[in-house]
Amino acid sequence: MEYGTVVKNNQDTHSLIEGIDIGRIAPGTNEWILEGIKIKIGAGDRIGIVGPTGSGKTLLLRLLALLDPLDAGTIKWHGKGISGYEIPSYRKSVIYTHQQPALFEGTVEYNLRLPFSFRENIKTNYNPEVIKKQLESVNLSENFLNKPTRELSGGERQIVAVLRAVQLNPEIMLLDEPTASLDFDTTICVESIIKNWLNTGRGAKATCWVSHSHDQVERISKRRLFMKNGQISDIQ
Amino acid sequence: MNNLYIELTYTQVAFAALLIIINGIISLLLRLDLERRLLIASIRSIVQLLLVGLVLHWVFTLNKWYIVILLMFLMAIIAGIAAVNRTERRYPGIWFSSIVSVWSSSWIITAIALFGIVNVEPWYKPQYAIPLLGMILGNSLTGISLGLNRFSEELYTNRNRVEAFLTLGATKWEAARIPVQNAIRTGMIPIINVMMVVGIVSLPGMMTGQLLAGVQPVEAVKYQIIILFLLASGTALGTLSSILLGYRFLFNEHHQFLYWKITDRQ
Repeated sequence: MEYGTVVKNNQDTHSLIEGIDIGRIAPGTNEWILEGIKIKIGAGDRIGIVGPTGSGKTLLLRLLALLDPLDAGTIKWHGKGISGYEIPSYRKSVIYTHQQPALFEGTVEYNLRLPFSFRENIKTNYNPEVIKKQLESVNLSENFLNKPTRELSGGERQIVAVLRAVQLNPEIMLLDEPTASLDFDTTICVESIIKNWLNTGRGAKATCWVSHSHDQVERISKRRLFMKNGQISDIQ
Repeated sequence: MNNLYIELTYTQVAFAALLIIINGIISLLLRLDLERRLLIASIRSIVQLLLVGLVLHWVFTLNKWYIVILLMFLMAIIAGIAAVNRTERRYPGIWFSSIVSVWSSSWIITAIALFGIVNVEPWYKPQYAIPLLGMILGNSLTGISLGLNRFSEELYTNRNRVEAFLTLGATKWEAARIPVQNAIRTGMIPIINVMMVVGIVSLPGMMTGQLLAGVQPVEAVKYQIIILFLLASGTALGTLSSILLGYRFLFNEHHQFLYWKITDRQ
C-alpha cells in the first residue's frame, strides 16, 4: 500500500473530478487535517472509502463537493478549474449527501420539489414519474409523498434525502455514510435508489461512498480507498 | 411655553429618590437579597443622569456643529458596541457589522429628520439633533441586536439545512435567504408592536415629556408620530444592513458557508 498512488488506476478513463494535492487546515489552527490528497473519480467509477473515525473521510467528500474551502491544491471538473460563479452548477452535478439528512418542515413532496426552485435547477422540472418509479422500487406508495417530514423515521428521512438528490440526475454522488444508522432492509432500499439512478438516464455516472460496513463496501464499490490520519491509499 | 412647567428643586428630586426605600423594604421582608444592587443602581442612575445633564448643558451652551457631530459619533459607536454585547453568538466582523449599521442608519434617518422633516435651523441645533439621534439609536440598537442574535443562532443550529441547500445547487443567497428573512423580521417586530399599541396602552416617553413641558397635546402627538416613523425606518435600515453585512462575513465567493466562524460568546 503506497500513499498518493490512487491516480494510477484511472489514468486511462476520462476523469470527472480530479483532486490535485488537496489539503485542509483545521480552522483557527496551523494543523493540517488533510494533506496532499490526489484523487481522480472517473465516469463509471464505484468508489468505496473506508477508514477509522476521524481519518478525514467526511472532509474529503466535503472538499470534493467544494463545501469547505481548500487550503492547498486544486479540484478540476472535466479537466478544468472551477470559478466561484460556477460552483452552484458544479454542486448540482456533484451532490454530497450528509450522514444526518436535513429535511424541511412540510411534506415529503415539498422537500422533493424544493431544489427546483433554485436558479440553477429552474430549467428542469420536478418529475412525478421518476419519483413514483423510485418509490415503487422500494415498496413505498405514492401516499408517502404526502407524509409530513416530522413524522418520518430515520430511514425514511434518508430515503427522501437521497431521492431529492438523485432526481436532479447528478453525474457524481458523494455519499457520506447515508446508511450508518439504518437497519438492513432500509439500507438495501437506499442502495437500490442509488442503483436505479446509476442505471437510468444518459452518461456514465460515478459514486464515491463512505461506509463503515465492509459488507456494504463489497456490494456498492468496485474500487476501494483507505483513509487514515488525513492520508489516502488504494486497497488492492 | 418654556415657563409652563414646574421647575424642580434638588430637594424634590431627593424626596423622589427616597421612594427606593419601598424596594429596599420589600427586598428585606422577602429576603430577595437585592439591597446592595438597589443601592448601586440608584447611585448609578443619579450619577449617570447628572453627568449626561452636564454634558448636554455644555453642548447646548457651546452650540457648535463639530461638538454635536462628535457627540453623535460617540453615541453611535457606543450603541453599536451595546448591540453586540446583547448577542449570544459571535463571528469575526460582528462588531464591524453592528457599529457600521447603527451608525449609518441612525445618521441617515436623523439627517432626513433634521433637514427634510423638522427643518431645524441651524441643522445642528443640539436641542433637536441629540434627542432625535438618541431615540433612533435606542431602537436601531434593539432591532440590530435581536436580528443579529436570530441570524447567528439560526445559522448555527440549522447548519445542515443551509448546507443541504448548497449541496443541491443553491447559491449562497438562496441558502441564506430564510435565516436572513427571519432575522430581519425579528429585528423589526418590536417597533411594529409599539406602533400597534401606542396611545392605547401607554404614552411614549417623548410625548409625555413634551406634555409635562407644557406643549399642547396635538402638537406633542405630531412630534410623536414623526418620531415613530423615524424609529421604524431607522430600525429597518439598521437591521437590514447588519444582517447583510453578517451574511457577507459568513458566506464567501465560492458559495461556501463558513460555519466554524460562529462561536459562543465566551
